[in-house]
Amino acid sequence: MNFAFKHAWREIRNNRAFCLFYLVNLSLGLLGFITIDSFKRSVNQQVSLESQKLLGADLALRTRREFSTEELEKTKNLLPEETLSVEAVDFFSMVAGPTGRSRLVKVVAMAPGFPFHGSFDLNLKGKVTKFDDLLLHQKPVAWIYPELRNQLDLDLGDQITLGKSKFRISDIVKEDAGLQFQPAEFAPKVFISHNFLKETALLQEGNTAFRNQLYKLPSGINAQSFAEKIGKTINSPDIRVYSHQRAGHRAGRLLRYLSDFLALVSLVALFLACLGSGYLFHGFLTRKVKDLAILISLGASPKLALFTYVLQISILGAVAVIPPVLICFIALPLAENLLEEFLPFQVDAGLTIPSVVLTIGVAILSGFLLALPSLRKIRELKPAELFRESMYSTKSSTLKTILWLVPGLLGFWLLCITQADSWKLGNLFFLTFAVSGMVVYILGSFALMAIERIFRKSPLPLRLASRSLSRNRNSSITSLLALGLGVLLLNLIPQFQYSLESEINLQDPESKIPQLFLFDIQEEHLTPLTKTLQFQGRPLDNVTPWIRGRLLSVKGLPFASMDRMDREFDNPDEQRRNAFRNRTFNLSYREKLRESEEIVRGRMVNTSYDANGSQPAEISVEQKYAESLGVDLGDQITIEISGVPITAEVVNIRRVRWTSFQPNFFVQMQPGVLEQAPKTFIGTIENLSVEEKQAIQDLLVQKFPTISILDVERTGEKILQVVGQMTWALQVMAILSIVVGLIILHTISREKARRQRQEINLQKILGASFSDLKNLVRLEFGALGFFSAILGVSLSTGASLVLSHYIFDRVWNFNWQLPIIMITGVTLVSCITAEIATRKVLGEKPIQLFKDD
Amino acid sequence: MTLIASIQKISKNYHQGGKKVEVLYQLSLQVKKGESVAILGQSGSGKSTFLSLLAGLDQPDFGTISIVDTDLTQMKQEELARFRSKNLGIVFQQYHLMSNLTALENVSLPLELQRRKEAEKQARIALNQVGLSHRLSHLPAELSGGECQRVAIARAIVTKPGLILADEPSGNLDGKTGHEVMDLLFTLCKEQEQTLILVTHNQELSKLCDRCLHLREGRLFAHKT
Repeated sequence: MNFAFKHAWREIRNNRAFCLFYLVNLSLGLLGFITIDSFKRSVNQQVSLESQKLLGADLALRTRREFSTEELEKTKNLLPEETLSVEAVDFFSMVAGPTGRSRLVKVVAMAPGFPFHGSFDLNLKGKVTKFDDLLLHQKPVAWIYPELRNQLDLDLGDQITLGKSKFRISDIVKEDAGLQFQPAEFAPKVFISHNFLKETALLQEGNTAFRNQLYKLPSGINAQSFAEKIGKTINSPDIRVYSHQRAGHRAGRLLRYLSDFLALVSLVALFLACLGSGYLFHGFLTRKVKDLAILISLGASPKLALFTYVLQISILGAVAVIPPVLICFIALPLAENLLEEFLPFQVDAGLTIPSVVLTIGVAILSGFLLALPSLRKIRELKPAELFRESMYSTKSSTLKTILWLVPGLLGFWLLCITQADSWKLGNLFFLTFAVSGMVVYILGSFALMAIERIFRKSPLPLRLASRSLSRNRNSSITSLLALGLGVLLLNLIPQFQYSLESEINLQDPESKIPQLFLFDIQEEHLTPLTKTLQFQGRPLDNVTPWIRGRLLSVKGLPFASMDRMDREFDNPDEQRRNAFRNRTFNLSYREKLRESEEIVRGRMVNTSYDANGSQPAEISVEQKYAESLGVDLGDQITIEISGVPITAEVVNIRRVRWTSFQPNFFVQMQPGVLEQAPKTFIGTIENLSVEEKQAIQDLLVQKFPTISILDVERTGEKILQVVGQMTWALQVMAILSIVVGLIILHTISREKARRQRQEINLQKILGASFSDLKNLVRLEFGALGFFSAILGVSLSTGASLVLSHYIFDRVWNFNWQLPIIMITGVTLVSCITAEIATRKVLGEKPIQLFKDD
Repeated sequence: MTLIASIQKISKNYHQGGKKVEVLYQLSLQVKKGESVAILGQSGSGKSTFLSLLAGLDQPDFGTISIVDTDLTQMKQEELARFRSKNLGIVFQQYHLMSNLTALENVSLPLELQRRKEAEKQARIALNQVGLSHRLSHLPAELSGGECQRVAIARAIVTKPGLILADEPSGNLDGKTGHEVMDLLFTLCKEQEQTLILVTHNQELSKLCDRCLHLREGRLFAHKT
């Protein structure tokens, strides 16, 4: 052991260039990995610490209707006696300032005592921790978010109109607590007392307000187990039961999805780094074969000789963790401001010990696993060859080499699963990555075979460059793989962003996206509203009924949600699908499809319904909703609307382009069924200038205070802002992959030049000038960079097309500028990198040829 | 005198291009302690194979090889490694020094493998014996061919093994340097009472040995001058 350490250290000391490149390579790959892993852990840790504050309670029930006395009684009976409870209501509504200007806000009507946990930080009053005896509960006053103050030009003491009531602004909220289920709010909040809510007349039939019943449990009681019990006892799919843990989990989900994706992208950089390190180590071991044989001839056992080199890469792996740890320690705390859109509170991100331990493990193991094929060759080493004039290296079959790579690939697969926090996403990513790698490998192999033939009769430099590429297949393919996958990532992510930006093109005058989206339109308001807008010359378009429905049964089976709820907490895939399934949903009816809709299977619903007939009603179900319910054409579902069960048969499956911002629904019933059901309406207003939009909005708030208006442009901007930030974060990781790819290219060109040193010197003796040789290197590695970029761009374009088809409702637009920049950039940078790497060997005097043995 | 090496009827075959090539056939040899034996033979006669079998780097198909009363053919890899470290010193035609280690490090390597204390001190003495005390920190690439071979000899004798196996030690050197190196090898072996088995095709060198054998058709014959 002592000898192994000593010899490993000596090898490190005496092979500084190899060690330096190995370290730089691996460190770069580990940098993204440790940063994202630490960030994820920080977020999870903080979410769990802040979860009570986020919910404002230990446990909460939440629904879009009034709780029945029976439901509240059942819950009370399940909870310990000392449990306290309080209610709060939150909903979107319009608010108007004293000047008549209006905005969509989120109103939180809190009863005395809300929230149980956390505090409010107010401008005037400072920190508020007791909520029983506030002025807010005694007088019609409101606390508002600072951005509303700016938007409506408000000041303390000014009055705002909410529905049919007026509230005086008594304070500005810097920080609040409770009912924070969303990562970010699309509208500023206004806090009023529950005591004054009724007077606003905003909670009418069909409104979208959430009623919340919050509970404070005696200390030391696990809220999660009570949440499960309550869920099963109430057994109502439209009531959501939140423990504070679950609420925290929900609030952090956007950032978690982002960090999961970031983690996967960082794995690409890590994989490429390992690929580069593996290549470097393979080259190093190939050079060391003779030394190993000597070591064995001097009395070292093959195991000891092998262990020496395993130890060496283990030491290097451990050392490679130091720079990323230091960088992460300094840089991660800076990231918190950049990602503030993704969480309802500020993240104190920092380096975590488990991340460091995991990274050390990954660094040591990855080096070892990827070196396995090379280490295997040592085992096959024949030291007796030392007695021969030249040592030959044993050629092993490709299949055997691939088999020895299997443990490494398994390790990578495990990392994909654990870092994605999802079995499905991890597997999908691994498969996509493996298939991309295989495609690059196969296409690369064909291309290499082809170029030698194509350039067989070309001028000498081209001929030599193409030969060098095709006859050093392994190094060429490794470069192609490293650069190609880097380009793939770098091009793929902005391609999505571009597609989404093109779809939500807010500046395009031809865009059919409406400017204002009106909802909560009461039936009695529809005619006067239409007339008002008609009078203004801005008609109300896309008027669509909005009905709340509750799933009773699917394909004859009662729709039970409780068993799914247990699983929901653990698995994000399941969580997403269940969130879709559990919810009571909105439905509508109409005679024809909108342009944002398309029937995928089946036929259009009949436009007339015979209420006295025996046939069930016909419905159209949105594709993804149908998938989550597991229904298809001909299946029957029963929906309860205002207590009346309606059985309906699926006659078509519909695809909806949600980014059109048009009124669309998961379920659409045939006309003639729901006309008598209680409902509200939604509608849109198009073609408005900024001034017109504000004027119309203010007018409507004044005349119809219960109608809510969504500024689509503002929402679209917010979405694009979030997408932009996500893209930025993903791009940073993708750039890391490209840098790693270039380091690999540098390593490969350096190694190649070192191997071909004799030939290079021979060429000089035969008359080749320094510039001839330099041009040859430029040509060879420029071509490699060019082909890699072409491959990467083609694959990313194909992948973005396929993924947009399945994930983003066919939102796809090709951005041709980025690929051109990418191909040119990668080709140039490849030339420069290779030139730098080979400069030393190219500049050598040919006399070295006589000195070498 | 006691026997240091006893080789009994060893055979070694290789398969090349589907054909069986008989390299050594029922070869026997006995070498006494302190004796120097030269083995002559043409290229491809099996000299290198014979040496690799003696060094325990390969195993015969048949027969036994006993060195210092230990049967190498019955030993496992680990045991062979330990045995080699303790009892054998090998000098190669191509020197085979570790390219990234200095002369001193190369020589101290076998001592370190035996976990001997003062490995560096012993290595310095050995290098001094071969006249290279002024080249201790030089890498092989910075040494001449003759100097490299001296380092290789120092490395072979530094553990004071009972048997030195030398494969054409002067094969890569010019005449004068070759002679100097060989003189050094013989002198050191004599001084330390080490047994030397020297494989060469140089008849002049073979005359310096106590016994001279000729390897032909897989067997050893007494060399007739």
